[in-house]
Amino acid sequence: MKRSKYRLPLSQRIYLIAILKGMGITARHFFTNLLRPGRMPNVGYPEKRRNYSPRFRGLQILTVKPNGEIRCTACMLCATACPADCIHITAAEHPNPEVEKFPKEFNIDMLRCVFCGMCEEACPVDAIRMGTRYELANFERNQFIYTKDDLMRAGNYTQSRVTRP
Amino acid sequence: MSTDVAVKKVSVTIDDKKVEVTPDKTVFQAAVEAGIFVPHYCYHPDLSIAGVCRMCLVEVDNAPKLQISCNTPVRDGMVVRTSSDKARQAQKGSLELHLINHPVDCPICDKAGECKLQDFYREFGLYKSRVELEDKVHKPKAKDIGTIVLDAERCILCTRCTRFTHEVTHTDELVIVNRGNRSELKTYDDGPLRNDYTGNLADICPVGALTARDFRFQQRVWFLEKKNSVCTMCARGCNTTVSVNPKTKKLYRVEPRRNPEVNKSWICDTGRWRYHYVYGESRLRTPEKISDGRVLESTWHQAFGEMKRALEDPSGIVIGLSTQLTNEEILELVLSFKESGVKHFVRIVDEQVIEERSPWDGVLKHRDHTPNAEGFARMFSMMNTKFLDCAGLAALVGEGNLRHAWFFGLEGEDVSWASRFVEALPEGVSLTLHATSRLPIWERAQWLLPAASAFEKSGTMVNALGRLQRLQAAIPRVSLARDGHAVAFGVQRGADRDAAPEARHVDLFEKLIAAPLLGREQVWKKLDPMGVALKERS
Ligand code: SF4
Ligand code: SF4
Ligand code: SF4
Ligand code: SF4
Ligand code: FES
Repeated sequence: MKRSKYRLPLSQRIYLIAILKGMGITARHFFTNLLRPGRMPNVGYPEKRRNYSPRFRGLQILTVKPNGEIRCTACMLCATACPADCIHITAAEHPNPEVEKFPKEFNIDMLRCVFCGMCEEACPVDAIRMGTRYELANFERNQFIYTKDDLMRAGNYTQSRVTRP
Repeated sequence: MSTDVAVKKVSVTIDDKKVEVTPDKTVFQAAVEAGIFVPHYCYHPDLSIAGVCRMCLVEVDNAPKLQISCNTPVRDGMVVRTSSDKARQAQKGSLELHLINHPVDCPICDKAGECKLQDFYREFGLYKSRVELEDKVHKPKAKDIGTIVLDAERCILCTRCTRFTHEVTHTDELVIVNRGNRSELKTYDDGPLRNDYTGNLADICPVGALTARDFRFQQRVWFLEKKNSVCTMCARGCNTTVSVNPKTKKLYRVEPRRNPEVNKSWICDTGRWRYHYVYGESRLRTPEKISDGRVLESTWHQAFGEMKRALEDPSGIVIGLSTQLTNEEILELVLSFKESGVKHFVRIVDEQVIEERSPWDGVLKHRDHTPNAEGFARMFSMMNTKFLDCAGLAALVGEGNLRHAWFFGLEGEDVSWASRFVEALPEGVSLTLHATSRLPIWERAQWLLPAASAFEKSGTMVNALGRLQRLQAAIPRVSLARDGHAVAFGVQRGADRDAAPEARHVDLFEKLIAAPLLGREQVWKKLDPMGVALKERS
């Protein structure tokens, strides 16, 4: 008695209908993609790329002042806020007493970064921003340590190659 | 009669809390005793009272106006309110006044994190300035005045620093010139500071106007952890805190810790900045064997092996102990070598100044640059053992059967006084030195063993005032350096097989307590951080 209570109905027990239904979906996609490729959701990466929102959080950018010097004052607030402990700054005395302090070294370990954007939030002088660059794969571990120069150059990165499929 | 009156206490009510204080106290000091914090900038427990910052305003009984608590004497039955609306409002007003011309450049200011202006600014929530940026008076920034960097713009004119140079060092280099909002702190001749206690200025400045060149931009203070210890650069034994970043495990600064009996709130610049030998070029990192002028990196295993073999004929050995070793290390080394039959112990100390028991400059600095000469003497009398001085060593050499000299615990790069002991040894005697640094005066040694520095070991020391104080390890031992306990342990075994037990100093400290030396019950963990005054040495 109990067993019969949990028995599947015949329509499900023979699977055939479900299989046909599934194949129908596949067939529908096949023909729509064949006849109207514009509606295909896949992106032909890397020839074609998706357009990310400017608010996307990718590789950090260290911004510069109008005179080309680094904007960062080495206050270490980003390093303090960073939950992944991946920002390593060495501060030094700047020759100009008006500037006073600047980062001699500024390294971010991108293997540890979780792209949370806390560093950007913490910065009092808008010196660090989350950029939109996301292609950060590499062959060697030490290549994931982005130095001050790398991060300052990251500001030049634009999405010029990005096209909408 | 008059003393009776002075002892009689008055009772004051502060924020509904009753305290009994002596009548020579001020309201501020009474509040401190009651555990109530009153915001303040210019008051400092070890300087005279200036009453210039007006931050400590409080409401007193039915006085028509608010009073500055730091300069108002207590009166019996006084009722004080430190955080009533009226008092808070006044304190907030004072704070705003201090902030009028302040640049608020906390991101590049080294004081951020331990700055009183920043703390109160957050507490009182004065986030919106009523002064336009352009209207602020600008003053020189990052001015070099020797060991200290002066930022006149950040100064709030509390006069703590000028009082310090006037009252403590009597050098009067710092002055405040001009008036009103153009008042500016500077050295009177725009030259550098010329005293031996300049580092304290960076400590007492409640804001970031005076920062220490040595520590500037090295770390943000909130990354650091502090450990209580004592300075080992001279016989004074000033109480200190040692700041270490727990991530890098590196030592970044040494600061004074207040102890009215020893150093008040100060330490000298030597004690503050000489720690760099810990990471210096000359620091010994591995045991080194020197033969025919060639230096060979060796191992502790080999060194211990050779020493154990030499110990088979203990009559040819003399042990030299630096007065920079802790009491526990001295005990350990002497007891273990006595057990092996060694008879001769030498005290390595600057003998010309050893009898001096007070600071030569009238403030803190002693001529005896070793921290534990007093403890050394006490340890030896406790163990009923005799030690030789330099002349005694020379006499022993004259007897002619000396073959090995082992000198332990020589610390730092400034130990020129120890060279007399090295020179007293003739060619034929092989010298083994346990020291922190490789120095030209150690040239004739056959073995150099890396010693743990005072920042890497724990133990107790007795300063020139006869005060037993505790040294605490703040950083891990650099490379292969070892303290006296580990060396005594290794030599006994003749091999580097079993490591010396951790916290060996605690076991030996227990021995100290058992001996009549301390005169009262002490437990290592509970030893007063301010130290314990010992009975006079007989
Ligand atoms: S994005 Fe987050 S994890 Fe990455 S560096 Fe910034 S704070 Fe650190
Ligand atoms: S928070 Fe901004 S200014 Fe401060 S160290 Fe980071 S990037 Fe530099
Ligand atoms: S420099 Fe510092 S200690 Fe000296 S008056 Fe200014 S705020 Fe006070
Ligand atoms: S006076 Fe002596 S004990 Fe005090 S800080 Fe200077 S060197 Fe160290
Ligand atoms: S602390 Fe009282 S006036 Fe400055």
